[in-house]
Amino acid sequence: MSSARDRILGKIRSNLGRTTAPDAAAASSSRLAALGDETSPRPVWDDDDLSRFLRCFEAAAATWARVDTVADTGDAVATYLADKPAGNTVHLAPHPLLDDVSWPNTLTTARATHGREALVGVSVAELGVAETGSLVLFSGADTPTTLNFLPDYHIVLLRMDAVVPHFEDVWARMRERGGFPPRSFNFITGPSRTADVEQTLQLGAHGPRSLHLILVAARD
Amino acid sequence: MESRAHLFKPQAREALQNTDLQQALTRVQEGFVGKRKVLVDQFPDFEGLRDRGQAIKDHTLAHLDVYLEQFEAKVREAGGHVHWAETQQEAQEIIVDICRQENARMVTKGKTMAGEEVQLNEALDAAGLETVETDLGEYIIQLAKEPPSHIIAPAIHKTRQQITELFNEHHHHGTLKEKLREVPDLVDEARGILRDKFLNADVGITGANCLVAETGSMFLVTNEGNGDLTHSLPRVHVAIAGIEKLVPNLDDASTILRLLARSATGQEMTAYTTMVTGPARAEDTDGPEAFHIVLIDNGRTRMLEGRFREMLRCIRCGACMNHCPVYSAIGGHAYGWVYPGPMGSVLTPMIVGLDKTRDLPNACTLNGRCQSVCPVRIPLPDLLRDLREEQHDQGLTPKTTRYGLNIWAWFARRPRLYGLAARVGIGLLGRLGRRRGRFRKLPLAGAWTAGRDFPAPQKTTFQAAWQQRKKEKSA
Repeated sequence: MSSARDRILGKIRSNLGRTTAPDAAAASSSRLAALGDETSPRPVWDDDDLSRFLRCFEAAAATWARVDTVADTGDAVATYLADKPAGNTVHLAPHPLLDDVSWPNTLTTARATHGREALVGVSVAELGVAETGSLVLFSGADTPTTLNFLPDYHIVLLRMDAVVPHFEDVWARMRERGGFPPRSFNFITGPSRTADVEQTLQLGAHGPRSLHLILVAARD
Repeated sequence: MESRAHLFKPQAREALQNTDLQQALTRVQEGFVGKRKVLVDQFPDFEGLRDRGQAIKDHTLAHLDVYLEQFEAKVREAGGHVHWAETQQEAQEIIVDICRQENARMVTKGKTMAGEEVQLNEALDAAGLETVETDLGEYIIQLAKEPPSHIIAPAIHKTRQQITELFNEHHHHGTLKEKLREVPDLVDEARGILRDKFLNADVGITGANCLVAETGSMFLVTNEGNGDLTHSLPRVHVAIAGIEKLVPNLDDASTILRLLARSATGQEMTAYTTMVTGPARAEDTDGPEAFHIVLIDNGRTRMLEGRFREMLRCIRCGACMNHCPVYSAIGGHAYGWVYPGPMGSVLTPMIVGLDKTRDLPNACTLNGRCQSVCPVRIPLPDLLRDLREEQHDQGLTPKTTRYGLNIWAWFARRPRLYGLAARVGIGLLGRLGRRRGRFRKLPLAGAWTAGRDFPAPQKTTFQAAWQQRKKEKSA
């Protein structure tokens, strides 16, 4: 008896009117013939990529603050949390960049390999995407995925020069990066939301109730 | 769910009289339709984007075997398992087996239409597993023991009062006195209850919005973040997807994502768009130990042959139903199965069988709005017309209709006689109906006039009017 796999592939072939599969090279040249060499039509903007990124980011109900150096992140986080019922413990992704942060003594920090205990989570984004105002987070030893989804307050560091224009630019960069694709590659655009009750938008459905970006200016 | 598509007519009648449903349906127009239009107008070349979406899907479908094999190899390379299911039963068995081997007790689920299609919840329940839907809309209808009524917003038919009642019954044993709670309050309560489920589930099951052959990845598009909690917290992640969800590479996936978010919810990007590839890597500190993907045929390979292949381009955005006057009038449940609206009226007969879904291809005014908004340009009205033809060829249309059409066809092949008969018939009906301008009842068309009035013809036949116009123009 043949397997479901063979039966399905067999039916595909016979319903496409052939007995064998063309090789991958033939498929890819026929893709080029069908789609051409150009990229997909995509959003355009008049100002610079960072402005577009921040405009879209804000439109998705997220907030941001700019700091000059990674070290300044600590004060920026303290300022952001000051008027929020978030306690004073922040759970940090075990990312080397966060070693350079100087934390004010009003905050207690804990290294988190997951997000199960975190009310406030701090992680590091790989890239920002200008076309949609999305942060790109890459799962790995120094960036646990559950820290992006379980905390009520999700705070993310992004270097200002890591904003790329379009999705295609994300893939071009990632194809050259080691370890790509990771298990989980998240585009995050604003806090968690739902409109499942009477189409009324409500933030904080299952994931973070708020998303705050710390934009780091300097390359130090 | 078992198909109830054969009961379309009574279900539609009931829906038209359901005031809660009618109130809920007005929100589809206000929300999805308006937001989509703003973004489509903003996009520099949305028509070009649709062309590209269509071309990507057509190319992939024409090489589906090649890309599926490539996808399978890449998933394996990343440490994942690929399963193939020809039928609903095979899909159920595969997933129940995985849960048994893992000694699972509790399963969390993200929204999956493929899962609805193969009645996955029924199978998991029968196997004694606690199965919890985590998309808020899906959770609400799971409590109500109802199927989804929209492929993007499954509980769109529910009012806030009904949700208040459901939560009171299931979360408070009916002890709450409030009849109408506020939205933040309801969402927060569900969040608390489901958070506990996320943290304690053994297996997480999700659908997939797009599969990528280049990397063996799947995309998951959500706003709540429930999909990510479902695949990241349990020991095992099982994904289920139709074989048509595939695209060749990441650039192609970008095109699909641009089309999907705009067409579905009127967003440039959902809050969470995630690409999942295999299980946790050795160095990862969280994520599942195992990743399985179940590729579903369930009638799709059959559609590759011939004109219905176009339907396999569908990316399940729901724009066709949001813009459909019939869906807007009766909602999703009247269609009787998993997929409602125009895409459902084509897909349901293909999967469930044309003989069990007779009314669906006819529940359409052929106004063409669905086709004009479809992100991958599926000619839905043409396909519905083709299904009507097929119904006629298979002898599935009522005898009187067939008899009438045969008489018409006999005349239509004899133009002179047709012209004469039309003149006589139109003249007679015109004179008889002159006073009221319409007929409440017509002999031999009782079923048709039971639900509508037949307008009395105006003076002359179309052909005679056409000849007259031509004469006037040349004169």
